[in-house]
This record gives sequence, C-alpha cells and structure tokens, in this order.
Amino acid sequence: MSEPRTQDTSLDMARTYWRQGLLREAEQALKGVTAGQPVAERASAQVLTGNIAYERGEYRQAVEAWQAALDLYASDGGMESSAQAVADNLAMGEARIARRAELEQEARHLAVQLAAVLLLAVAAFAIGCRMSRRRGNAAPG
Amino acid sequence: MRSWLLYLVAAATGAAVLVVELMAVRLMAPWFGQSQLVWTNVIGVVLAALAAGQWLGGRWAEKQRGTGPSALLLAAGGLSIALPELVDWLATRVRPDGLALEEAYPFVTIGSLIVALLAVGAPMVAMGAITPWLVRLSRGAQDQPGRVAGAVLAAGTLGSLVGAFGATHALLPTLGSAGSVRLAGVVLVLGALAMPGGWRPGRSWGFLLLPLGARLIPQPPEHPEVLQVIETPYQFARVEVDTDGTRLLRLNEGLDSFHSAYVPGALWTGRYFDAFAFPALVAPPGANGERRLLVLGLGAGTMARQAALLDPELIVSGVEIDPVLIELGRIWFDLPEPVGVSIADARIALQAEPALFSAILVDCYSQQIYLPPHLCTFEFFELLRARLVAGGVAALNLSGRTREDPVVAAVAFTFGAVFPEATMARVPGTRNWIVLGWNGASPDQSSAAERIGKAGAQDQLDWMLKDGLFAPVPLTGTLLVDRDAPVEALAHESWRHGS
Repeated sequence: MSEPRTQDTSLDMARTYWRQGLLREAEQALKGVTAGQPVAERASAQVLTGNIAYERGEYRQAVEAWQAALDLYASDGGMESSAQAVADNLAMGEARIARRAELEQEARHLAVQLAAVLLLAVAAFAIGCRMSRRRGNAAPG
Repeated sequence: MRSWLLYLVAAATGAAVLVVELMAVRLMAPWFGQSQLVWTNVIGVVLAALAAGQWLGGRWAEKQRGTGPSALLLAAGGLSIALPELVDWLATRVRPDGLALEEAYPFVTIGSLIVALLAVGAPMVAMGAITPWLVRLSRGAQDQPGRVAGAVLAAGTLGSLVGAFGATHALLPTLGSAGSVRLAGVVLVLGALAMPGGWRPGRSWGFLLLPLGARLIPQPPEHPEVLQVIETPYQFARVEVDTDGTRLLRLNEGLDSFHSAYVPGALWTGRYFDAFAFPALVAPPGANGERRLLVLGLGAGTMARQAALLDPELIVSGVEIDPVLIELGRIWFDLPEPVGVSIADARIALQAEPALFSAILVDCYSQQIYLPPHLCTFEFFELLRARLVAGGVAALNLSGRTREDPVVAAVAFTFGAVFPEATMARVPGTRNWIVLGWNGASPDQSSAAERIGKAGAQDQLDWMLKDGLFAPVPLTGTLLVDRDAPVEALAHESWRHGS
C-alpha cells in the first residue's frame, strides 16, 4: 500500500485514496482544494469528484462534476487531452443516466403489471366464492 | 368412495404440491436466480394459493359432490405439465434482455412474483381445493368429520413429505426440474381418473389441452454462443463464449456475472481471476519444503489451472460443492488432471483437511449475489488461518461496487479481525476486490517481484506491487460471526442500492 506522503497536495492525497477505493477519505482530501488554487487543480478536483460519484453509481452527480471540470478547462484554454478524457467520461455518465431512466420506466411498468395480476387473482377468487353460492352450479367442470 | 383411494389421492396431491413448489424455483432460476427473494415469492404464492384453494374447495364441496375433484385434479395436472413452458414464456415478458447484475433487483423481485402468481398460483389453487372435497366425499364424513379430516390431512402431509424428499433425491437427479413437474402433473391426471366420474368426458378434460397449448408458445431462442447447458444438483450451468472468444461459466440467471473463464490456449483470462495468481506465486513453502495451494470454490477451475501452469511445482487442489462444474471444467476450461478435487462444502472440507497450505484462495459465491454465511465469519477465517503455513496467505474474492458496499465492508472487516495486516484492492477494470491476509509477515517486495518475474507474469501482476492500489481493510464495521452473519440482508441492501 502506498500512503499519501505528507508533502503531497490535497489533490495528490485524494487521487491516492481514490485509487485505493477509499472514497470517503478521497472526498475529505478534496475539501482541501480551494477556490484560490490554479484552474487546472480545481478542474482535476472536479474530475475526481465525478469519478467518486460514478463509482458509487451516482451518475447525475458525476455528470455535474465532470461538466464543471469541462467548464474550468474551457475557461483556462488548452488542456485538450484532459478535456477530451473528461468529455468521454461525461458521455459514459449520460449513457448510464439514460439506461437507468429506461430501466426505471420498465420497472414501473412491471409494478403496474403486478398490480393487474393481483387484481386478477382477487377477482378470480371472488368469482370462485360466488360460484359456491349458486345452488347446483358450484363445481368447476 | 373407498377411503384408501381418498387417502391415496390426498397423498398424491400433497406430493405434487411440494414437487411443483420446489421445482418451480428451479425452473425460474435461469431467469431470476434462486436467491432468498425468489424463494420467498414462490413460497408466499404457494401458501396464498393453497389457502385460497382450500377456502373455495370447502365451499364448493358443501354445494355439490359431482365431478369436482376430478376436474380440479385435471386442472392442476394440466397446469403442472405446462409449467416449464409457461415459466419461460412469462419470464421473457417481465425480464428485459441484457440486464447487468446491478440493474436486476426490481426485475428479479417483481418479475419473479408475477411469474409465480400466474404460473404457480393457478395449479396450487386447484390442488388446495381438492383436500376439503376429499373430506366431503368420504363415507364417514357425516358421523366423524374430525377423524376423516384428520386422516385426509395426514395423508396429504405424508404425501408432501414424500414429495419433498423425492423431488430432491430422486426426481431432480433423474428427470430434471421440468421432467419432475411434468411427472407430478401426470400423477394428478391419473388421480382424476381414480375419482368418481373421472372417466366421464366433460369440459374439465379441456384442461389437458393446456400442455399442448403451452408447447405451441414460441420459446426464447437458444443463445448461439452457448456451448453447453446443464442442470446440476445445485443450479443451471451454461458454458458460453463471450464476444472476445473467452469461455465463461455462467450459473442460473447469469446476467453479466461469471464464475470461471478460459481463453482457449491461453494462461490468462483478462478477468479478476488473474490477480489470484499473485498469492499463489508468492506464497512460501511449508516446513517440509512443499508449496501447497487450495482453492475453495473451485468452479470450473480457472484459478487452480492458472496456478498449476504458472508453477508446476505447486501442489494444487480445490474444493467445489457442485460436481458437475468440475466436469465442465475438464471439458471446456482445460482444468488440469493433476489438480486434486474434493466435492464438498468448503468449510467442512477445510475442517477435515490435515495439511497446511502456502496459500488458500476463497472464491465462494452462491446464487450470484450471496457469500455463503458460514464462509465469511470470524470463525471461518480463524480456521482459514489455522490451515496456513507460517507466512502463508489467504486471498478472498469479494464483489462490490465500492469498499462501502455493505457486504464488502463487513466481510473485509471480519477478515481483518483475524488477519490484522490484511489489505485489499480492486482488481482494475472489474467490480472484484482481492483481499489478502498473511499468517505472519508478508514477503518483501523484491522477492515477490522476483517470483513474478520468474513466472513471466509481470504484465498481469506487477500492478499489485507497484501501482499502490492496496489499502488496509476497514478498521471498523460489522463483525460477522457464526451465530450472527446477516450476509443475505447485506447482499440485498447492496443489490437494492446497486440498481
């Protein structure tokens, strides 16, 4: 295991924690990246924030953070390769959001189907009870 | 009607109830798995349907004797015979294609309930309605209703007993799940013939058209990349070819999970298994100079094969509870003959094992989402440590999105309670975590690098030494012990959040 060195910046520490899967620690370290720091560092912090959210399955937050990173890159000019990587992440995040929305829609349909099946079962039971009340016509078959 | 015949029909119905119940879960397994969630849905539907049937049967029997029981037996029989096709057809309608494991939770929970209600509920209502009617038909019902009801219920319960044991120990191994429910259906139809008026043609015979109709339902097409499908005593197993040509072993609902992998002719798989070659390579020899490796949860033998090929001097053995997976391993996954195999539960095998091992790899998953509770407790990890040579290593495979995953967190913490220096890392590009615990000091970096270099495994394993991905296991969390290991609940929580 590599421990973040004491002279590492907050961003370095956050990166190390993130690579080790220590997401809470990474988030904590990112709090040390302040508005006064260079744009590139702030953009990297946003990228990392997006990565952490993505790992947790929080795709909307991930996309927001990556978008913020892209905005910072754009404001700074240059850093095209970094921006391209973030744009790729962004596209992946958006695809995940779309997929999740599609599945949520399908799950809602499924819940409606379940309600319909349960209603059908109750109706069938009620018909069965009614059949037993009618004299001479009680048995199926 | 003769009493013995009534009791026989009651017993046959009771047996059919259990056979259909147990096999229904198996028939649903390729679509929804066999998790507790699915079992709960099926058992819940069976109980509700039986209660509804008993209620209705009692009322119908009061009104008319007639051919009711034979009609109900024919309905239950016809529906049971049609059950395999009905389950497949309904399942394709409630489970979207291409689901990943982390997306599947609502479709498994709600989908399996819908399928159970429609496919299993209907025959169970009919079977439930039969018993009160049999009581009513008995000669002594007027004078000794309590005695007659008791005898019929006892016959039904004894039949259920036979059905439960027969399904598991006789029917499943010989006929498979589909054959078993069909046989139960045929028995019910024969029961109908034994009832008064059972031979008389009537509308109720139309129920026998159900299996014919079910045969006409278009079934889902067989996946073109499937090499073999087989029903084992524990699960459905499929050997598939992935898009990159890798052979994968998938169990039950499969989704995007796999349990073994083999790239024909190659050592490495490009999947999480590769990381487990690291503990196999760097583990020290025992006092007798031998290096032994044990794989718990062998599957079709990916980790064992890799270790055996990387280091021919390593004595490799494995434990797998499902013997059919070993056969598949020999046929499709190039599992080497020298790998010794025990067919047993991993913990029982470990307890009985007299030897000490240089490395023990634990890759035991059950029903896709569960770690078997007895294989992730403090006591189990103590046993694991007791079976290691000095300096030996235990390696766990855990699946989870992050270290915050409830199962990953609890199991890693519990492991760390036995192996205080334990570390863990995500295998890059996967959702698998490798957790390593040493029985003493871990090997120094240079000797580990030397062994990896000697085996020519730098490309696959160097990341474990150089990339700084390992971190200590959690220092706080839920300690899992034999008497309290709520792994299923943690897995459900994890799965729910994953979706």
